[in-house]
Amino acid sequence: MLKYIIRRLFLGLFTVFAVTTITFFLLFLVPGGPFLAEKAPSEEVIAELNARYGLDKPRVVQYKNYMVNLLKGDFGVSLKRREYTVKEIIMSGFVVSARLGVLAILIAVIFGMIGGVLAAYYHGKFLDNLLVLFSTWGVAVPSFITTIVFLLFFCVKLSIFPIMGLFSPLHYVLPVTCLAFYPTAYIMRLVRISMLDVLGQDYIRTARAKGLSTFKIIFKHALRNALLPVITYLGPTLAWILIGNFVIEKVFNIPGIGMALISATLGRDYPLIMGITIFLAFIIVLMNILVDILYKIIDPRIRLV
Amino acid sequence: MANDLLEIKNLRLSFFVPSGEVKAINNVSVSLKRGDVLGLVGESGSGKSVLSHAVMGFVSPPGKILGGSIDFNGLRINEMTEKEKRIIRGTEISMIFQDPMTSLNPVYPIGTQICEVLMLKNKMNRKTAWYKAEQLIKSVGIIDPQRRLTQYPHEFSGGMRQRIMIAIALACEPRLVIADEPTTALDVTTQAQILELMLEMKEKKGMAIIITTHNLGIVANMCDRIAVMYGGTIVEYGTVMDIFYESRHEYTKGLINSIPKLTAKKEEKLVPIEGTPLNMLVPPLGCPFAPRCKLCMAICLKKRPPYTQIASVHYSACWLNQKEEFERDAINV
Ligand SMILES: Nc1ncnc2c1ncn2[C@@H]1O[C@H](COP(=O)(O)OP(=O)(O)O)[C@@H](O)[C@H]1O
Ligand code: SF4
Ligand SMILES: [Mg+2]
Repeated sequence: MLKYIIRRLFLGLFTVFAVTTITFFLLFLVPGGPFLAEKAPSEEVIAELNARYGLDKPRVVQYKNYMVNLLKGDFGVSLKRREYTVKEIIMSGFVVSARLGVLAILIAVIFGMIGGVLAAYYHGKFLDNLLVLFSTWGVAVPSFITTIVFLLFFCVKLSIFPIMGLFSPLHYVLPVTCLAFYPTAYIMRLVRISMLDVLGQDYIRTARAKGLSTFKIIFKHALRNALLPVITYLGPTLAWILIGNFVIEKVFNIPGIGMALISATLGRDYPLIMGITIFLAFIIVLMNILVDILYKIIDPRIRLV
Repeated sequence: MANDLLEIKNLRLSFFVPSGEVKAINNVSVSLKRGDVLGLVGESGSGKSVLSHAVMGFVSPPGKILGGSIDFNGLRINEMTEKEKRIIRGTEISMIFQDPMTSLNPVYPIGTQICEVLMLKNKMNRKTAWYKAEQLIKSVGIIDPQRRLTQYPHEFSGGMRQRIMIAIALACEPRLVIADEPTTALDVTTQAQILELMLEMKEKKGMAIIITTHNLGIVANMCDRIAVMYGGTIVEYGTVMDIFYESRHEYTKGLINSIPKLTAKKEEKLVPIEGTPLNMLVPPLGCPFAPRCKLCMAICLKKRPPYTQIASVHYSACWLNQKEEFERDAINV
């Protein structure tokens, strides 16, 4: 197991390296530059700024410098908010995004699983139809529409929740709900479908023949078998959600990583774009390893190689 | 017969599917004494599984019991609530299924799956249950039980898994074990071993057994009674001797002829029963076997043959048994 994890981490580092390299060179293909947007700078000023940040050197040299710094753990300084290092910006954003993300995932997992189990248990009945309706809606309607509808309804029309920022627990309610909406619906669908499949399996009939209660059959014998697809889905989702959803962060004006990524991209803040990309790649790699380990824990037939 | 462990009377059970009513069990009566072995024999689709599941109380939509009764040890199974049935499942009646590869939960060690029923039904604590489980799987012929209990189903062969299923079924010493084609999914050598084990366990524990199979040959030496099923009805019933040597039903005779014999000479061929199994959506008016019967008579197509008592416990539902009666014109054709 430990050997497996170490090997996967090593492979993961290679993935991160590849992502870093590709992103680095792709960035040069994007028109514009970090200093163009600033108020009418003169040619000399831009040239001087470019020289100061090493942007005047050939690409390969820039790449070499960046990678050398990266190996030292130095992500560089933001070109836009020059008083901050990239690391500081990512960390301060991550704390905010991850806090929202963890809450959202918890809600999605709890409600998605309960909903999915109930729908499968009451297959074809009213409750099932209702839950299918909800989850189809949740999966089909893009999150920015749900978000804006919620915002208009709860904040503007009813004024129950504050609109902007994260200053009190009440501020969390809407962004977390919006963030959890899609994954809740998706997990509900997954659990429902795989529960329906599992409930028809022979070993469930065996469990019934033993005289076990419905509760035990569902939660001990069925759910664990139905969990694998959920975990497959949860790995990358967790990564993305921890990194922050830029739509929701923009709409609710939340200073998370998503927001930082938007301003970095629009402003061609190369070091910040690179930093966030590497960070995301790293988290996705970690989550995938976590998923494989969870697989093994849930289903003993799976071999980690 | 008040002393019978199980008495099924005039049972009718149908599945209501979009294309109509599948009459899976059509007026079946059969009983079983304590400690006896009943073989339910018939080809695929004759209703063996449906009947044996009904005894467990496993009837769920689109299936519905339309009439008759199932009495087990003084309890009317078909009128019990799900909760009441749950209490007797595992303790009074237990079941072994056809496919041992899929009948155990893949994500739990087999020890957990055996102990579960002991802890729930016999109120044992984990330690006692584990100890009992060890003895159980030892008694069904699994060596190194201590280590084996911690292993998962995928680490066992099909035959081993069926042994484990037997251990689970016997854990609480039930009065009745229902084995629905327990050896069909196994290879021939393993089949014999499993049947031998079941017989051995029966000698030890004295439970009654219902065993279903489409292969008359394999159950012959373990059954006290055999009920031959065709098209959702029992067409012939009797002792092994009655069925094998004194059969009075054309379908049974066909079944016997289709058993491979060890002593067969090269030129002797297996004789299959011609025709296709019954479409139970539109069961025939008369004898269910009539469309495939070589000796079919006019009356067979019109009227369902009643049971004729051939010997003390030997019954057959075939018009040929009443030939003299219609030759004497006693029966209106
Ligand atoms: N769930 C079901 N829905 C509809 N028809 C069914 C169902 N289960 C069994 N049947 C029908 O009942 C009949 C008897 O089936 P079964 O008892 O499984 O046969 P056997 O076990 O003898 O092979 C078959 O015609 C089958 O199509
Ligand atoms: S009743 Fe008629 S059709 Fe049925 S088995 Fe007897 S002879 Fe054949
Ligand atoms: Mg069957």
